[in-house]
Amino acid sequence: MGIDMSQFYQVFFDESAEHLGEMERLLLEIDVDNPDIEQLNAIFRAAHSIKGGSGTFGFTDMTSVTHILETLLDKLRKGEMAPRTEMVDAFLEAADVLKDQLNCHVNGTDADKSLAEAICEKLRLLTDAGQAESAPQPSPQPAATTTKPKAPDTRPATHTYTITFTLDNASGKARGTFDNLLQELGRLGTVETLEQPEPQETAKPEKEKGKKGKGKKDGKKSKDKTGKKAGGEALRWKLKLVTDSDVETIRGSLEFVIDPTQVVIETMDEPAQPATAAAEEDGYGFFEPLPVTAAEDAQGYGFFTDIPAPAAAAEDAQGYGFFVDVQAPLNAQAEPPKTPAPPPRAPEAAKKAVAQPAASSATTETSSIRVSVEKVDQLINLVGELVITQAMLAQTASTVDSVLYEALQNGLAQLERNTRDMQESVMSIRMLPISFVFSRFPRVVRDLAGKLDKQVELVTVGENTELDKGLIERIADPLTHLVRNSLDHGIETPEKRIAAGKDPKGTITLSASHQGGAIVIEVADDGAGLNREKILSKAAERGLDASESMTDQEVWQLIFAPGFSTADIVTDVSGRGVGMDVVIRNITEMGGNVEIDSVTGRGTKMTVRLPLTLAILDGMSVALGDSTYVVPMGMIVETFQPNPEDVKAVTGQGEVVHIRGEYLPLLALHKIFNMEPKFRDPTQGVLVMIEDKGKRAALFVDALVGQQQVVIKSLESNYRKVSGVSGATIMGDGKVAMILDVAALIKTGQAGF
Amino acid sequence: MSDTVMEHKEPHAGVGAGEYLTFTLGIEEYGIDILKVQEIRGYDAVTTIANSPEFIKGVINLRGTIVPIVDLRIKFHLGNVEYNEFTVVIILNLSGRIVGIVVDGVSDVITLEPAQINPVPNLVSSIDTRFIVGLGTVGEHMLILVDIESLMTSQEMALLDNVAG
Amino acid sequence: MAKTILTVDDSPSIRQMVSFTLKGAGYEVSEAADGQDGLDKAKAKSFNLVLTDQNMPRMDGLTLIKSLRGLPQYKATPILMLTTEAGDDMKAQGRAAGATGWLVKPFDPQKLLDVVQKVIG
Repeated sequence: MGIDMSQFYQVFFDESAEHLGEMERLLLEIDVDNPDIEQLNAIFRAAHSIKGGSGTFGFTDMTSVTHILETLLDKLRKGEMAPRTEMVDAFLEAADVLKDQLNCHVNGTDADKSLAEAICEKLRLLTDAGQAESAPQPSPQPAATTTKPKAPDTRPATHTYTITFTLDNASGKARGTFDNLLQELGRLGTVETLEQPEPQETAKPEKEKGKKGKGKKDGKKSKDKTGKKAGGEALRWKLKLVTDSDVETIRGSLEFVIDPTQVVIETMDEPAQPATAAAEEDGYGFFEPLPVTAAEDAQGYGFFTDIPAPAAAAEDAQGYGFFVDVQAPLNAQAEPPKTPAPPPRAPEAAKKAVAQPAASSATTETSSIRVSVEKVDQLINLVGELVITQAMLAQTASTVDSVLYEALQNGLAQLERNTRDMQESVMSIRMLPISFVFSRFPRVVRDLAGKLDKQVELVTVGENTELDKGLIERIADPLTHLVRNSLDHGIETPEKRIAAGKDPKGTITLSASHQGGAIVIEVADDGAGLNREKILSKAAERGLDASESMTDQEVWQLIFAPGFSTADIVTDVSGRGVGMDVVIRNITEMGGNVEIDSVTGRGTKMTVRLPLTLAILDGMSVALGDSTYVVPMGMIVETFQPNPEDVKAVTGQGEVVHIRGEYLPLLALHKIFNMEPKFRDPTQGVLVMIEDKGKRAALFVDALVGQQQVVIKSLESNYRKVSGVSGATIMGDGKVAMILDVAALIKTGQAGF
Repeated sequence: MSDTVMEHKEPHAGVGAGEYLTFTLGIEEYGIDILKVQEIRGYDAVTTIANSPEFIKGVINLRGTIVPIVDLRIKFHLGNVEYNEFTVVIILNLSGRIVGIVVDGVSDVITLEPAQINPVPNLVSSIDTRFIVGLGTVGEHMLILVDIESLMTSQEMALLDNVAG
Repeated sequence: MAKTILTVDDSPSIRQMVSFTLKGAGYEVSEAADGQDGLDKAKAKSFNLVLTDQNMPRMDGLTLIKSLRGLPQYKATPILMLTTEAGDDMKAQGRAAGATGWLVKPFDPQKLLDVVQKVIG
């Protein structure tokens, strides 16, 4: 069988990951006291699917776990046992073990067997204990011993099998094959040979001697060397195998060495249930006894009615026959066999039916396709290049006589629209609903609440809100930290909550929505809120720049300082103060920001704002000397040219500009970047009012150049991070321009870098 | 390689027969592994990077990729630093990192046999001998064979973010 | 003309493996992801053989087999159950539903081919 199974592995990995995710989701939703049968069925099916696939593709460690899991689930869904919380916990643990095993298969590493064994044991105990309730039984066996199986599916751990091999020795290779088999079986358990063929069956010379050599001569030679000169008959071995593998596993291990028709496996530890027992293990069967059962029994499949041998012989050309009083075999029409008196109308009707729905079935077959991320990224890059090229064309076209080249101009305007549409469309390919991130939180909350002995309910809103795949991956950890924080420091213990007149069960709300060109994610809790005094005193302790005069908003932002934590007790969850600063850094690196609102005693809300797209930016290009820089439009409030009287120098703080009642720091880009500008006098240049996280400044440049969409190119892939610059882009004229890091500029202010 | 100065250094392990691109910096001739060279261009349209060392001229747009350009003549105080139509930029691909170096001129690609490569005497060279892996002789010429990847990724080149702070 | 086979299984990897195996042997194969999908497809096009899993969402294998047997064009079509459950009661149910035979999972591709060959050649 020359089929390479590994080509199906990736699909199996993906679908198993989905099944595991689904299992976890359902397990978290299940109400132990009043379980929904459909949910139990779905959980069962998920485990069952994984079992089937893992068995087929040889991932036997997963098969073992899912087998026991499935057994218990089957009882639950059939109502034979009642679900209990420990079971759900065990199922969740099993899902974790399976996830781990799956990952190890994906990565080619070895899974920790002890974890798998432990959870199998736990599940076994639960299965037995549950049954002990319905039918009092002696205490469950701790280790694997052979006991009467209740149903063929739940086998005890150790089995004794009798395995009979019948190997055709026409090619003289039987012994070699048997040796391989012995090796394979030896890996599964202890083998004892009960019967074997005579050492030298016959010294018949190879009958193929006469045949034109096809390597047979060589074969003969090697046989001569080894002295095994068995002739062309079948050899038989009978072995006893003691193993804790089940029949499936044994067959699986043999399938590449031997044809299933040559093996008969009988379980010894079951009281002899003749044909049925044998047939059960053999993997297939037919529902009516067939004239030849022995050979077929070993085969793992079966037919429910006779295959009439003579009829089969008659159809030998096609090599099959029909069972239920069926017409003659298929003829060239490839129509399904009809019952006697096949109506000619039926085939036509069937044909008509084929013609039409064929079209619709084709369309409904796949409503989505899996595409590798690399392909999508490549596509996005190409579209980015297209945007640049289109900009270059627009630039060139702007220099020509627009009347003369009107058609050209129109065409280019059309091209710009097309490019923009295409770009939006392509960016949306990478958009995924945020439920991909939110889905992990029920588990996180459940586990953590359990650990902390708090009662918490998680509410999610806006799970369908979409954001770029890249953002989804990067926002997961920061969000997790925020949620854990809320759980740990925000939500109080049930006693405290009752004392405060609150419901002992706290609520954490995760919500996502689009606002303008950004996605807004909120983590809100109805806990104790932030303690302003504590934060201020901690800040003072750490020598941070904080004062009583700060607004609440400003005080809350202090918790983002590195090493900051007002937690009384450092738990292993949080409180070490290494979290929030990492959170804020991750988020700002994504181009986003975090706002905090809190009311003491009532709760806290963290609002994370992220730009929707990573790669393309609306920018305003500005000139400084001979260079062009790009300022992200989203951070520009307005541009203006100041009057001389509005520009003032403040001792010790540099220049400020007065605009509409505010005094903003004046950041002269030429000073910050140490470059030669066209204008040193702000009143001759242009001021760009920029804003980040509520702070504003006025950026002084020579002139405004224009506004365009730019493709963000990485500066760091070949160079390194440059202070004040968040990336680079390629302008319409093909030159590189730097994109200003507005947040950093505002932060460092006039001190420069 | 040890940091102590030795009279003679053995050729760097791995420096053997191979093809080298030769270029000139000032009066000296250098050779680098041809496999590190992606292409050779002229010098134009370099965008300066604010607050960067003088020898880092800036970045260019190389068919959509941003590539930094380092002028080795400035870095090693060699020759006349001019930028004209003869100025050459060697674009290097150093394990995926693309950088360009400005040199005075590019000569040939030559093949060196191990026999033509000699250990490095205790010579004074503009380029730190740490990065010199051998001396090649081709006829009358002496080529200073440079481990260009180690040189360009070293701290002093300030091209990488491994500088603390 | 090639024989046509409908394989019904909610596991994409199993479907792919079965399709690939059978197509490689010259059969035309269609896939369905659950019993309902399988029934729809079977109604739309005539198949020479139906291979179906048992545990599937929307409609399980036994129900599919029963439904198929209720259709005139599938009264005698070979239908095989592919199932990890090979207990007596499952077999009895399969037979009662009208299946032609069964094949236990996991199976290797060669066995699948052998059985299919036995059934429809």
